[in-house]
Amino acid sequence: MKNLFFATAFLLTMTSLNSKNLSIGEASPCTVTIVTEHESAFSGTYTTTRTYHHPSYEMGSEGCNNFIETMVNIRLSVVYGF
Amino acid sequence: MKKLILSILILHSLNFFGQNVIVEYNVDNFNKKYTASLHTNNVNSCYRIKPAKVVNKDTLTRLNDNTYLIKPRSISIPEKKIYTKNHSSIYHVVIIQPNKEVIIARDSVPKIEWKINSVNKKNILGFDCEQAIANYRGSLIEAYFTTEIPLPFGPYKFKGLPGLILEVNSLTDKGYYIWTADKLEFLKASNTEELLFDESEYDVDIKSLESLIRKFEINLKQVNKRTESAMPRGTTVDTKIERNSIEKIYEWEK
Repeated sequence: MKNLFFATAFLLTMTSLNSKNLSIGEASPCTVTIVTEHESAFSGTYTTTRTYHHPSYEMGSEGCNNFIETMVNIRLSVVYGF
Repeated sequence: MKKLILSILILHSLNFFGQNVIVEYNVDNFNKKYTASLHTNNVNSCYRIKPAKVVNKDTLTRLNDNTYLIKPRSISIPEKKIYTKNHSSIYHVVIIQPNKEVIIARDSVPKIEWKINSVNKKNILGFDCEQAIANYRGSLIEAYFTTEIPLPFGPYKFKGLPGLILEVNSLTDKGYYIWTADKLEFLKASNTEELLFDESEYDVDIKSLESLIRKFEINLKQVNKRTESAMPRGTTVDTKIERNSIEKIYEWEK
């Protein structure tokens, strides 16, 4: 019983360490969330939450910043043109 | 004693003048503030919203590192009349500027199952009000009504209490949906015409509220879809659309 307990504890520790190692050194993909508000005369305010991901850019990179700017501009045109 | 005399006077004036009352409400509706009025007797009511424009100072707000909020530059609140009767359909008449386009919708709000909590009281405009709580189309709401004015209506589509509703708050979205009576007037002359929906006044087809809401929501999804062609290649997107109205779930969605 004691051995089973130690074996389980050992496995749990290894799993936890492995999952931590996996994330170390991995760059976070470029992500931006844009919430927009829209108004209906009959059913009030709606919010659309769109989360965009781009696998080619890392968060904080110039490419990611440009991507975020592009997506914000697209959503601005949607809200103003709606 | 004073209260008794006041109540007798009010009841007398209600009977004498055909039970017509006009209430003006201050409305805070998801950060849009405006006034609305309720003209009612004991059978019909007409709730009116005057056209207004709400200007958003901050249209683009950065909420955190990679989250943005975009609001419209301005929101036009159209002229709106909501005609209600005790036990029948509700009619919305919306007049959209600048062309004064009229859209009429028929709505059937199910009977609101109020739970009266007489312990919680409030004085509004000099009237003693009791609290009532109900689930209204997916939102938990509290209303304060006064039996001193025994009319079964209130602002928006709220009705079915043994007295006029002078305040409504959403308990689901606290602070986001508030109706508060600001002025109350007993009319000297009964004018029931203004309270009745007259289809012949308008040269448009009446649509169901369900069809109008479905159309708006389909349009919203299509606009989102159309922008996807402008996205840089390789982009993936997750979308969530939320209805933030006080009406969160309709009967046809259950």
